Amino acid sequence: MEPVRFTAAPKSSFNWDRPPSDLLQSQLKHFKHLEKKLDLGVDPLLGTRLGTENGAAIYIAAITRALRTRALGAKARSGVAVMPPPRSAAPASEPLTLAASAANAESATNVSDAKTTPEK
Amino acid sequence: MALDRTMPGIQALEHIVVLMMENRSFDHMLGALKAVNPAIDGLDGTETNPDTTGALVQVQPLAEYQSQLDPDPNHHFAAVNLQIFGDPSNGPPLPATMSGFVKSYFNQQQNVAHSHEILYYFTPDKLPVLTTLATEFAVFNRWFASIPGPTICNRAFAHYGTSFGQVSMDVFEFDRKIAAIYDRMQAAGHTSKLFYYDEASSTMEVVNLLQDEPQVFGTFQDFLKACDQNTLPAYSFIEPNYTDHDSPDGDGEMIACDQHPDHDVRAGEKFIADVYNRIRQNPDLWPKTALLIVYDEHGGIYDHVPPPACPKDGFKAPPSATGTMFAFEFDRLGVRVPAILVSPWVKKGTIINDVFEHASIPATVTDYFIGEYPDRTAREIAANTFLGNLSLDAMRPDDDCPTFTEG
Repeated sequence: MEPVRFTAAPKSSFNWDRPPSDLLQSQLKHFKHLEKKLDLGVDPLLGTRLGTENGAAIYIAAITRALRTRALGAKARSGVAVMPPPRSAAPASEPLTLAASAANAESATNVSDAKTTPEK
Repeated sequence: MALDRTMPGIQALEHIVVLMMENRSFDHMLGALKAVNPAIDGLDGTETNPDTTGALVQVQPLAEYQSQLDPDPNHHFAAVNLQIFGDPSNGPPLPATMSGFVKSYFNQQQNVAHSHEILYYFTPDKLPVLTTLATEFAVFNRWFASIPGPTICNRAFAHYGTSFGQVSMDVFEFDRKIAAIYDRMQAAGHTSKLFYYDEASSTMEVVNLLQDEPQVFGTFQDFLKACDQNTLPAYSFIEPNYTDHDSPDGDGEMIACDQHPDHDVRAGEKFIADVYNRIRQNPDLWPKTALLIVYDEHGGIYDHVPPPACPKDGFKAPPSATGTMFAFEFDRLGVRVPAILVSPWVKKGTIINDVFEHASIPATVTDYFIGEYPDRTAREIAANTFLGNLSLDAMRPDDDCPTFTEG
């Protein structure tokens, strides 16, 4: 059987300045919840640059590495800079809404909404 | 029905790999395959939804790779309720007419013409990887999202067989009475891994697994290496790249390959091909591996099949959580999604008509590797398992199974 050919996405499809989707914002909310709960020692500036996918990715990488380091028992590194510096201007910092909402524990975790009723 | 473990494909099976993509409905991705094989329950082109002017709008084969589903179609519980029942607030006993997709998308931009694009679907030539796998191996006609809602709670069903009462994307922590499939496997002496793409994309299973059990995680590069070195775990779950970002390792630009709108669908095609090819190209691994490609939920995009009822899973989400007038008892499924089972022991052109959902994933893995395991939801226990489709008496020859190449 001949190999089936597919077309890769063109370079123009890549847009690290794209605003985070609802899904990504939720993922960030979960990371914010853990950052606050566990005092991971991640550079607080990273959590304010979440207006783009790349800004979100830099923050997510830092928290992911901190969580893994912490839970695996290694000494946590504070202010982990795991991403290369942005090549262009720094990621837009306008959407501080995630940080703002995460500062509100109720809205960040929505634990009250999360409490559901086990029937068994 | 109990799995027939005397089948050669089952006797050979050592690895189950699940790749879960993002936010596309069955009809959107595979609906056009009905023209290729009428047994595939896709679109015949006459399906319609009313728009907000009252006009009936037909489905059209005009889906594009990117820039069409922007903004991201709403797929939270209330919006999905509108999509399924034509009403954002009330559910059953209203009939599931699947007639509210255009109205739901209109609500986001108040643009009548744009709202019609939620009915657009891909032609097979635009998705050569996904549609080839669907026609060369087994396609599920009735795989549904576990919840008529968004990503994180649906993905929870793939890990735990329940979302612990969640119908949203909210943070939740649970009491661990129901173990994740990775914990079950570990306790039973089997290997398992959840492979996220890289640290910058990470996982959607943040609070309950990444926090406490980072050892169950690996990266996509780890997965590829494991395929090459014959060290693949018994069970692997793969998450795609959720963001356009620079590689944490300095390897350059990493394009999102999750196919979540508005990410380029072609990047997901390549990702699926990369996973498949890596398994397929290792002659020691290929005969021993079953690969399931499935999407977490429909992403607000049209599908014509009404979701069926299902056994309750013991939780109840209150109206404040559903955003509707009613509580949800997890007694019906979400919208249908693409799902494909790949193995050289699967007969070409298999079409599976039984009902599946994401609880079928831990159900299948538990059933195959662990056996009797009572500490899980009634929902998971009742879920169908899919390995019975590895039913050929002999493995398909190498030149009978496709490979994919870029270009």
